[in-house]
Amino acid sequence: MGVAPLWVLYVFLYVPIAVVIVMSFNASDNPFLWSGFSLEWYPALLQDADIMGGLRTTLIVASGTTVISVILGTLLALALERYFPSRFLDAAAAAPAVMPDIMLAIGLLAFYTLVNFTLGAFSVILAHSVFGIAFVAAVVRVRLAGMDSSLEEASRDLGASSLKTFWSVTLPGIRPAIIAGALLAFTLSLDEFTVAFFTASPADPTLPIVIYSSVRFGVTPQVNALATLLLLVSFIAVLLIQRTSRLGDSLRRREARP
Amino acid sequence: MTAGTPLLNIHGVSRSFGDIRALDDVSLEIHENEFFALLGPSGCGKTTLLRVIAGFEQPDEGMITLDGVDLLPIPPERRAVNLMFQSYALFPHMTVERNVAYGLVCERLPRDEIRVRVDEVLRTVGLTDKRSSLPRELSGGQRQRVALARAIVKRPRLLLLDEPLSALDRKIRGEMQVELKRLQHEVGITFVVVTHDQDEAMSLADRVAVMDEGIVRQLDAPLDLYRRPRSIFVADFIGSSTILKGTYADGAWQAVGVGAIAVGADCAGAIAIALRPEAVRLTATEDAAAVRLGTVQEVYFQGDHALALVKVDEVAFLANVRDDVLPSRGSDVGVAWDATSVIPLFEE
Repeated sequence: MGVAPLWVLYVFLYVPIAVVIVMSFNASDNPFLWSGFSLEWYPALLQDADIMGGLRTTLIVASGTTVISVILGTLLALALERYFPSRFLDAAAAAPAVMPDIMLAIGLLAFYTLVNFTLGAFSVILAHSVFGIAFVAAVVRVRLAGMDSSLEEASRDLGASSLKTFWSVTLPGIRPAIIAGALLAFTLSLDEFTVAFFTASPADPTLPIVIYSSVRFGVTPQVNALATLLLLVSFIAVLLIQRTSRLGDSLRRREARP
Repeated sequence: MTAGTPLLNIHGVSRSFGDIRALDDVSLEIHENEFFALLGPSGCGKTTLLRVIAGFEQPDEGMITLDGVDLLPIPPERRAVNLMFQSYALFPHMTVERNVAYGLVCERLPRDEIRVRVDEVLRTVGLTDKRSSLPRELSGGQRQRVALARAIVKRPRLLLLDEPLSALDRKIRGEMQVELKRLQHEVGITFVVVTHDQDEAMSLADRVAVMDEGIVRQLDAPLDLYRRPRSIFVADFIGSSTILKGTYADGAWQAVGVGAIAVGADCAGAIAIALRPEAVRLTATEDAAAVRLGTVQEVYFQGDHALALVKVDEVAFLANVRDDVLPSRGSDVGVAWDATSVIPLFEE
C-alpha cells in the first residue's frame, strides 16, 4: 500500500485551501483567470472599510467569547468533576458543542427577540459563549479527571485554604487544558457564521458575514487574501493547541514513570 | 517507649459507606512518640481510619481527641496532623524546595524561618542537592523522602503514612524502612503507618493494630502478635501457621480431622489451636516423639531454611526444616511439637 493513499487524502483536504492561497496572489480581478503574481490585494484589504469593520467586530466577539468561555467553562468542569458527578449534567454540558448551529441560532434569535435584547457585538458574544463554554468544559474536564485528586487533599493537609489550593495546585495542573480551551473558543468564534448571522446587528456584522455578503456578487481576490490571512491565524492556533496539549500529555507520562 | 502518654484517643468510631461498614466501633489509644501501625488486608478500613484522623472523612459516630482536644470539628488544614499520601502527592510543577516549603508558606511564617526549616529538613532526609529538582526528575525513593520532608517540616503532633513503602522497588524498600525508623527517632514525631504488608508493620512499629472488616482484631507489640495471636484471623494473617479447629475436652484437643492431641489446660474454651512452623519438627516415622504420621507433599525453599508441607489425613501441617536435611517429596515422616508451643485461639 505505502503512503500513497495518505497523500491522496491530504491532497483532497488541502486543494481548496491551496486554490484560495494561490488566487490571493492573482493580479487579475477575475477569480477564474490567472494573469500574474501580485501582492496588491493584501494592502487593499486595509482600505476596505467593510472588511476592517468586520474584523474589528470579530476580534471583539472572539476575545469576549474566549474570556467568558474560559471562566465559566473551567468552573463548569470543576463543578461536574468534583462536586456534582451526574451523567445527565454531563450530557447537558456537552450538548451545545455538538448541537446543529442553525438550531442554536434560531433559538437564540427567538430568545433575544422575546426579551427585547439589543443585537450587537454583545449578543454574538453570549451566543458564541454557549458553545465556547461547552468546548472549554470538555477539554478541562479530561485534564481534571487525569489529575491525582490527592494533590488537592495534600494541599489542604498542609494547611492551605480551598482558595489557596485552587490557585497553587488545581489551576497550575489544568493550565494546559485552559490554554487549549481558550484557543479553541477563540478560533471557533473567529470563523463562526450561522449563529453570528442570526444574532449580530445588521449594522455591525462579523467578518464571516461581511465575506458572505461580498461573495454573493462573486469571489473577489481581496476575499481570497483575507481568507489566506484567517487561515494563517487558524493554523497557528491549531499548532499552539497541539503543543500545549502534547506538553500536558508528556508531563503526565513522565510523572507516571516509577 | 510504648508506655508513653496518650496522644490520640479514638473512641467508638464508626463509618459506613452505603451497606459497607468501613469502621465498626473502633477504639484505640496512640501514645506520644510511638511508631504505630494499622495492619490489615485491603478493604479492612485502615485507610478510612487514617482519612478520618486526617480530616478527609467524618465518622458517623465516635470521638477522636488529640492532646485531649476534640479533633472532629477541626478542618484538615488546621489539624496538627499531617498525612503522607500513598502516591506521595508531590506538586508536579513545584521544585523540591517549594514543595517542602508549601506547608510553612500556608502558615504565613517569616521567609527567613521558612528557609532555615526547609534547609534543616532537606539535610535530615539527605536531599539538599536535589532542592531545585522537579518531582518527575527524582527516583521513587527520593520522591518518598520529599513527601516525608514536606510533612515533617510542619512539625505535626502526629504523622500519618498511607502505605509509605508500597510504591517502591523491593530493593530500596528495606533501605527506606530503616530510614523511616531513624527519622521517627530523630524528629520525635508520633508516626501512624497504614500497611497491608505484615513484614513492614512488624519491623517498623512499636505496636500494631490488626484490622479486619472495620474491626480492630488485636492490638499488641509485634512480638506478642506473633507469639500470642488471639484469633484465627490474626494467626493466619501474621506469619504462617497450621490451624486446627476443634474443642478442648478430657484434657486434650479434639481436633477436627486429626483426632485428640495433648495440649495444656490454657486451651480450654478455645475454638482452634495454631502451631507456628518453627514449632513443628519432622521426625522419623518410628520416632516415639512423633505426634502424627504424614506424607511430605511440598517443600518450599526459603533461603536459610525450607518450609515443608506435610499432609496428615486431610490436614496440612507446616514445618520449618533446616536446608541440609531437606525431606524428599512423597516421603513418610512424623510431625512432632511440644505441647507448650500450642497457641490457643479464642475467636474466628
